[in-house]
Amino acid sequence: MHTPRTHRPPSAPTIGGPICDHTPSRRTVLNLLAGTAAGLWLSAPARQGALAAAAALEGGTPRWHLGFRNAPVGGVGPVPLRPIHGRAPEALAGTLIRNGPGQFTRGDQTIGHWFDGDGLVRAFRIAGEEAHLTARFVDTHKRRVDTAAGGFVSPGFGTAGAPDTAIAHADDANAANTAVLDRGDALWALWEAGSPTALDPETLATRGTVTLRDDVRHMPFSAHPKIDPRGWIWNFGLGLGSTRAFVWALDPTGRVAKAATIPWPRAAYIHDFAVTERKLIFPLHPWIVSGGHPPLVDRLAWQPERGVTVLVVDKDNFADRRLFHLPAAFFFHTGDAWEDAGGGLHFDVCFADRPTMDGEIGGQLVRGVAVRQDLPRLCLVSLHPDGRAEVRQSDVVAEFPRTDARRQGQPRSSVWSVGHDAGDPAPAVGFNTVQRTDWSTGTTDCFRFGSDHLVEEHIFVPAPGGGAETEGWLVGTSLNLAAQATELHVFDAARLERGPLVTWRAPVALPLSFHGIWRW
Amino acid sequence: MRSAPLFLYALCLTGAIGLGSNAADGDRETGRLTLTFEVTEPSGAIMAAVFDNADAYGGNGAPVRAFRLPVTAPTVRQTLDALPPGDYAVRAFHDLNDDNSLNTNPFGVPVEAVAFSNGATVRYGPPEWAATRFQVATGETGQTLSFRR
Ligand SMILES: [Fe+2]
Repeated sequence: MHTPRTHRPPSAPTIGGPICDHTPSRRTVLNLLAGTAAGLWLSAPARQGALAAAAALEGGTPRWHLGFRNAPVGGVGPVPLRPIHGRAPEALAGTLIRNGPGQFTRGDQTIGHWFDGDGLVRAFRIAGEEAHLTARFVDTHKRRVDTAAGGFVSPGFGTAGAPDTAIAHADDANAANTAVLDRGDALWALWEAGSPTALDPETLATRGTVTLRDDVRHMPFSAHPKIDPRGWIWNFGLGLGSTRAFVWALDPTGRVAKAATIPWPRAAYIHDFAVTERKLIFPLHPWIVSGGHPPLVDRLAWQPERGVTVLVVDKDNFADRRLFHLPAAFFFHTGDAWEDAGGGLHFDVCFADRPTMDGEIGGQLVRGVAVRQDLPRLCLVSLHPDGRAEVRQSDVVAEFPRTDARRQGQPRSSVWSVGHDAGDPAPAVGFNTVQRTDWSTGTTDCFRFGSDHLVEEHIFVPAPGGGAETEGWLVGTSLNLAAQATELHVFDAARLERGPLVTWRAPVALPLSFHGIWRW
Repeated sequence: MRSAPLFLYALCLTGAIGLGSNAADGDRETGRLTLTFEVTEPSGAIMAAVFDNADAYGGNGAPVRAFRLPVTAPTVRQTLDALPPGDYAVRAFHDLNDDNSLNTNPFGVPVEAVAFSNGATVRYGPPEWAATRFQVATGETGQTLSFRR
């Protein structure tokens, strides 16, 4: 709970401290500050929110369920956000645009899985000291069909749908709910099994499904494309249940330069990959898809005995392939990758012991049922030219890793992520900390929001004209469960431990979202 | 989706059957079927095949009629005369690029719109005979097939 710090002098103790070390004494202090004591500092409206949340809890709904409730059908705003702390950096004028599921119940039905909620794109515009929020549902075919049916008849990741819903191709089930890509004159709302969906960058109005090229219509364009410093976009798509996948390369003009099927050593379902200047890296964890129809979760099997096979493909010659092997691990997200002078490849990745979000957990979240927590930790994987592969595991609980986009595919040290103190009891759901890990020093500094916040992905925004690795801001959102409102935060990316430079509060609690971009 | 080979078989190998009808007009023992096609883009051509049994519909046999119909308007029609009364089903696709085949993406999913008789829809593949069949009696019968891409 950082809000009270607004009124404290700079010399006051800060929550989080300069370094997120994990010694017991420090942890005790953090617990005290971030947890128990924070409750005493709640403002009156926040206290009311907390009481409401507590009442909800007694009624059987945990207060974290606020992150999984429907957004207004027509979206939100534009509405001004209320500044509640600090001052905005003068040079930071632009928009944080995020995407995530926004509808979980319709009629008397509850959706089968968090990942299947219709995409709600949210734009947080910062101009001077003012910030505004606009949020709109992506007007997909799926949303129209489900709306007309008054339920969830479209199939998905963990939703069965109705047996008679027409599905001619993947885009008939496209939820457009996972990430956003800035295409200049358009935003693309991304899913992972179908095409991008184009939106108006100002109004967020949906323009329609993007056909990148007619012969590859409806091919999967995943939610984690990588944009290299020259403006090329690399992406992949899964051939779910088969031992093939698809690779995309768009040149800086947006033309499809490469679109090819590649062999996939195992029928692994992965959500992200990593890209260096010359190589595509696919860490194929042992989450294996068998044939059949949606929901996908019914076809997924965790087979840890098979370990991780890392497929490395040359960007210029897809037939130039190499395999590396690692002990079993699960991941959703990588940070980024680079190649060293000796040809070694390195990428940061958030590895867990088993799937952190399966069919069961995704269904429990939307229903407000307690979930099992498997915590991912920040790791650095190195693939050596001699064929050895190794994992350097930190004790930092981490998800949603982000790096400096200007350094995509290049050597660098910093990776920002969200997490929580590895020694604390895990929060029931989600994360409460933003952090920066420096691989060169092995240190992690952080800011802990405390147990009232569900902290969403934060992204690095380089300062205009700045060149140094941490010269810029970390911009992101959290859901304040006490205030029952979504908040927008800006940090000095090099000094997270000082807390947000500025925080604004929205007049609404938006459901939790996945990924965002910064658009100047 | 496994629909592509079936379409290709039905429409390319048997396209030679053409539109011919040897029955005399007004034959009271046969029916006349009017097929109406609704498209989203008025260009290219409709490629359609008409079957009178489940095996042929499923790819093991020839259609009783097959035709190519140029598309110049949002709605186009084709009339088929002299069909013996009985059960029929129609498979069709909108050949937007005029190459006489149903184009598919690298994963085998059609990139041109397909449509079936009886309002049957695609669900991970073409609908079964049972969902697409309709009855032709003596006299007039009509079916509308809508393409959505
Ligand atoms: Fe993701």
